[in-house]
Amino acid sequence: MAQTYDLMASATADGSSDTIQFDAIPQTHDNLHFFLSIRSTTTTASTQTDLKVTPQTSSPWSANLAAYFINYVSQADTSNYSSSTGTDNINTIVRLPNSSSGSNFGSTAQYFGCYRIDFPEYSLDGQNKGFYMYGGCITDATYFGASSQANGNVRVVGPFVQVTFEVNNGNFVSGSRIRMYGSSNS
Amino acid sequence: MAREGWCPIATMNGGDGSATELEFTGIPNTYEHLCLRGLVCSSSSDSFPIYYFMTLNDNTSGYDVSELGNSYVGGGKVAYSNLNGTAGPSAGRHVNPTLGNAGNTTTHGSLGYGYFEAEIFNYKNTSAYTSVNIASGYATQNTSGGTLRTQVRNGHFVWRNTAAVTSLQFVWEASAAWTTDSKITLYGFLGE
Repeated sequence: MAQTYDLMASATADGSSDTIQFDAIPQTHDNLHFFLSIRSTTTTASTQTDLKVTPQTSSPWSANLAAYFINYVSQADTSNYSSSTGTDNINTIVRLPNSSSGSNFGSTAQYFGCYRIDFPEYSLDGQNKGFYMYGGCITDATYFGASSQANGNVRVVGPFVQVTFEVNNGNFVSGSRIRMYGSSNS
Repeated sequence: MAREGWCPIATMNGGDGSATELEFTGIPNTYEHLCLRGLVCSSSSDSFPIYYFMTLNDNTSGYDVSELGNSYVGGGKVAYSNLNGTAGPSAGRHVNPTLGNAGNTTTHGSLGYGYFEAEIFNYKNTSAYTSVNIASGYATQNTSGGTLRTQVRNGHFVWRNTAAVTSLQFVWEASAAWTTDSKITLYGFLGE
């Protein structure tokens, strides 16, 4: 049986934290793959929720982002490009889509935003790296959700040893799950 | 570190060329996520690529759909969505849980095939709706040398149901049939 992706770590939120962090990531693979099924505890309408992803290394880093969003309200809004640069420890490299008047992940408890984020060649030392994300969320009967995809480069030259996910409104709702897989090129 | 991962569960082809529905049944509940990969084509005679859809547990309603895409010819940027069967402002037919679209052997010959990958989250989680993320596309041209048509598409849909998913069905719009060499593989991601 093929074993092309190895489960490296699992995290399930209990509702008490706005952060899910993977520490001491083994440098045993070539690529990292995160599968997210997440939701924020915030119920505040018109408050946007971002998901911040921080691939931490020993040196300051920054990221460029090209994102592609759609939401139910502004159907034509298919090419919003965003960028984020900086040298802080936290940078927003994935912005969760939400509607203009939306309730973000919504009040319906069964809805979760589901995303996949890949960091190819995360263990390389000496080259900057890229990432790719796609997925979406749909919320409740009031509003809605979006598909999104994003690509970017992360200006780090060292291997990723820690990846942190953070929502900027509320906490990760209990039952939010993130799984980290690794794959090798040969 | 666990050595667990991405396991093929089953592969199916398009049957005898007359099948209008393909189906995976008896999907085990031993995985964290499911993944599908397919290279598919229809035997319709439509001049344009047509859509193919996936239903969960044979349910044809109760889906929220959000899609975006870009075509080289035939539509440019597209964005569709609907909420539980109610189409969004510019949506049309996309009330169905769409995987993608592809050409056919009659009009497009060996260039009629479309590709998709879909990741299925929370398929066994009875506290969450099942969500499906999709990436798909095609690049076709009529056998007569007509216009090259290409499209990339990303999207997702949610099935408003917390029941465990045990079967998946695949159909074309207008009840077209699957070509014999269409191929869809189901994978499972172990995650606990």
